[in-house]
Amino acid sequence: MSAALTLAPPVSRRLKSLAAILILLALWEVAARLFVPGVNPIIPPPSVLVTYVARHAGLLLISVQPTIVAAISGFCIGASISIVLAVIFVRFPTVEAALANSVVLLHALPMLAIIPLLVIWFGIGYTPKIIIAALATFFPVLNGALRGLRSSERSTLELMHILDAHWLQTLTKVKIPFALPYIFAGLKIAAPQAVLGATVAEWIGSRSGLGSQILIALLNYDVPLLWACMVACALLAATGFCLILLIEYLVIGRRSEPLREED
Amino acid sequence: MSDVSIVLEGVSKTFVDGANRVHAVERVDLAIARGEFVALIGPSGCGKSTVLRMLGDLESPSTGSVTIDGVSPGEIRKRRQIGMVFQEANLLPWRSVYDNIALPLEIAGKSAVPGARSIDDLLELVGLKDFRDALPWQLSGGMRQRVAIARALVLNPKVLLLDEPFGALDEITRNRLNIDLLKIWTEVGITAVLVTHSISEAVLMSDRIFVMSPRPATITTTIPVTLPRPRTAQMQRAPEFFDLVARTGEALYRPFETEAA
Repeated sequence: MSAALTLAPPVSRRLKSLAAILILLALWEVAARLFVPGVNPIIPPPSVLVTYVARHAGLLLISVQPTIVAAISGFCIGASISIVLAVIFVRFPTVEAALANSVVLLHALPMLAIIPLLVIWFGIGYTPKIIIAALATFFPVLNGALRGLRSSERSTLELMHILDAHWLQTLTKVKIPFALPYIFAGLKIAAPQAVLGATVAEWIGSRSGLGSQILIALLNYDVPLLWACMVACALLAATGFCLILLIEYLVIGRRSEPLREED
Repeated sequence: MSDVSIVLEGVSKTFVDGANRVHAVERVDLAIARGEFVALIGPSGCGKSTVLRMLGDLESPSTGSVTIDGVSPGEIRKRRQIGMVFQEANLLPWRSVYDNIALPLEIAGKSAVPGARSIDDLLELVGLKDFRDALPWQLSGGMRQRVAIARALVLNPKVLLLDEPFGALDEITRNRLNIDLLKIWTEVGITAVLVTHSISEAVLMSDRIFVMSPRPATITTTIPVTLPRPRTAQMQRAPEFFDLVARTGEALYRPFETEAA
């Protein structure tokens, strides 16, 4: 699992994973052609799916832009707030004790119920979907950052004490670097969530973007457009994940012996 | 004993955990001369590390007083005159050897430490000149501890606290590092306190050995090590060395033997 999520898996593993995807696509193709025939099938085989996407390429390129803007803004806002909050929690345990339950409550709120409220408060447009993307990002990153900031070795913290380091020095030179892998683990979960959050918010909170396009397709019973939007949404979420993976690699680099290939 | 560096007077330490009270250290008195190398030896978990941690201001005594150069460990710590080496090297894995040794300088602010050593000299001293840009994962366990020693010395501290620094290493590596550490100690001229549970290590390294009892730890015997300096690996095969090992062992195991009888 963890090996599959690193940036550069060994060549043979990459080949295996590619082969598995090709086999799945082939099975899907055969099954769809056998059981769901027709001109615009509601479950298209991959070959037809490609034509769906191609047919709506222009529309998708336009719809995707507001979604990307909302997802990235919400992601950055949510991630920044949660990292700052995690630092405050670790520095002032009383604040954490006071706010921890509220944070869990916030996480337990159903997003679908918040969106209409946000629309009433802020009107239709970017604000509701940015807030939803930020909320989707907030919890996994806070969780990762909190665990990470507490992951420094005890003796390293004692060394900082002996050196009479200021807490800000301990934070920037020890705690945050040790927390980075945990923060990135949270960011990797959060990036696709931010895309999905923005898309869902667009159902009712926006007149532009992939989400509202999905709603239009549903109301018009436009199956090919629905599928095309779904593909675009999945690609967007996957791109977000891969982008974080790349940034993680660039920021953290190599801290331990590289994993050897198992076979 | 001309010039006294470290003094402990009637030092006791009790840890309170809810209703439990654990007496870790009981009435320890000792005085360590400037530039002396002493070893604290005792059964594991006896509280010898607690004594060392009080010197490093990582714990405070429940009763009694601890002074280094006439002031409290907290004061010495604020002057950044304590160097400590832990059992694990605890290097920062994203920093090179050079940058790990530079960490204390960064924290103190370079201008604030006129007595600071040059990192390149320290690399030479611990024999890691060719590894200055290596990352910790590329080093062996022994090399990592060498980096930790260099890091402990970079601010030119008054005392060097060694908490079983080579305890996790194999005996051959450990022996080599001990001899090298003695060379470094001679060159730097620093008061050193070593916590260990190896009798031969204590004899090889120190001027005096303080033998501690099982918990609550107190000093039962002080053994002056009469071996000449500089110490060499060969001395470990001399009859005088074996005699000292036997005497230390006798003092160390006495509490257990009377208990069994």
